Amino acid sequence: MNLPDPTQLATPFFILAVIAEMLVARFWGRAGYEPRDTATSLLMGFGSVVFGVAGAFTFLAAAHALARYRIATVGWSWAAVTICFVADDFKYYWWHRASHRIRWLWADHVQHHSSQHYNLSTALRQPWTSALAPGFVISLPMVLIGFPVPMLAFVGGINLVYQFWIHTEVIGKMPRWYEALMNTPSHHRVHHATNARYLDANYAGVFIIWDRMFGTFVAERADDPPRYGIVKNLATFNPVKVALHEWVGIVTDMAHARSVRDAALYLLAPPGWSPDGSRDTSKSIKARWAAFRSMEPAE
Amino acid sequence: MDVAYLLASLLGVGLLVGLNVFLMRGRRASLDATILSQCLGAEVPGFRPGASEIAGNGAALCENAADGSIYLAVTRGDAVVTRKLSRGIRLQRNGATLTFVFSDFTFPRALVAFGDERVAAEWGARIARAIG
Repeated sequence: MNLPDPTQLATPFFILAVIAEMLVARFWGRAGYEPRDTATSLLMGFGSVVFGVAGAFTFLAAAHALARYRIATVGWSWAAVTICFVADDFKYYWWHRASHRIRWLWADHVQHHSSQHYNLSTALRQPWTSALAPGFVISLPMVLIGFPVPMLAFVGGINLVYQFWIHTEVIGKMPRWYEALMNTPSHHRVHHATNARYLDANYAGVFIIWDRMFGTFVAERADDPPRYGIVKNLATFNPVKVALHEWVGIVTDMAHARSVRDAALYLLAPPGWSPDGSRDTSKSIKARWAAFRSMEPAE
Repeated sequence: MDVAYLLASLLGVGLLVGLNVFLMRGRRASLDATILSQCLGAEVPGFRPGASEIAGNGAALCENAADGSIYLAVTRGDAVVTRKLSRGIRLQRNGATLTFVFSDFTFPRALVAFGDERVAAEWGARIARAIG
């Protein structure tokens, strides 16, 4: 079955929405846009399309090879597409969670988090190096179950398009039932925030229920407005440096590691891990924050 | 891959950035003592502002009175980026200017231009003590 590419179809909407949000930023001040930051985000989006071709071909080759061994054949129906969409989003949750907890995967995903702004252009700040952190591997079980590859590509595209509009400060909270079930701008602001309270939270793509089920949900609080970016923000707008900085860090650390174990952990442990514990991980930041908080007088 | 689609995308990027420049012209971050201590207070658990110096060129130094560590802050567009000064940083003083060179390639060489050579020397000594 020939299905349209949801991302390509949505591109005109993306552009119009970015323009609208810029106007809101200019005249109402409810969003922040910095030209060089915007340029970096948009060029990262452009580059991810160009460099993503290699990853897409690898996925298609692996998926078609594996499809011969599928245990069932899922036909095309609305029910099948719906189940595939939900299963794909569940898969996305775990991949996304792993991308924050394993430095190898973080080296790719950090590129999306590297802006200190949170606007619709940030949604387009996509990694250039996904071929080095092959997320498609986690889709392969769905191929083995028997979902058609075009169906997987289609629901993956819908998932990506959904996640565009939640990268905004213009929208406060959605209706309560929607906030309970779906990922929203409020939930995703928490995900992009570097406040200690918000670190490692809200990994959902479309359905926030995964975070609620697996204990990673944190609600946005009015008394702790999110600050965006990464723990060590980048003082550069150069997209090449944005794309490569964590990879360079991994290679440098591994080259100077004192043992094979340390070298492996520089790659596989959470971002910020070091043999002597001298660097900050999200866990150590949260622990320090909790310790200082407990010493503060009660309000 | 459709080359026309890619070229149109690049043109779109240029137009959106141009619109952003037009709408947000003149907006840059400025650093003062309040912004500096707010920024570090939010980033560093337990931060207590100690001595600080806002240089004329938009960079700043601030001591964390809680543990004696020193932070460098620079403006980047309309945002502020900070780094804790630690071993491995190369520090040079040239008259009233301190130059910081980081091994981190995402943080370019930073200059902190003081108004007074004596103040620069004092901060140089303070930093040397803090980073050991």
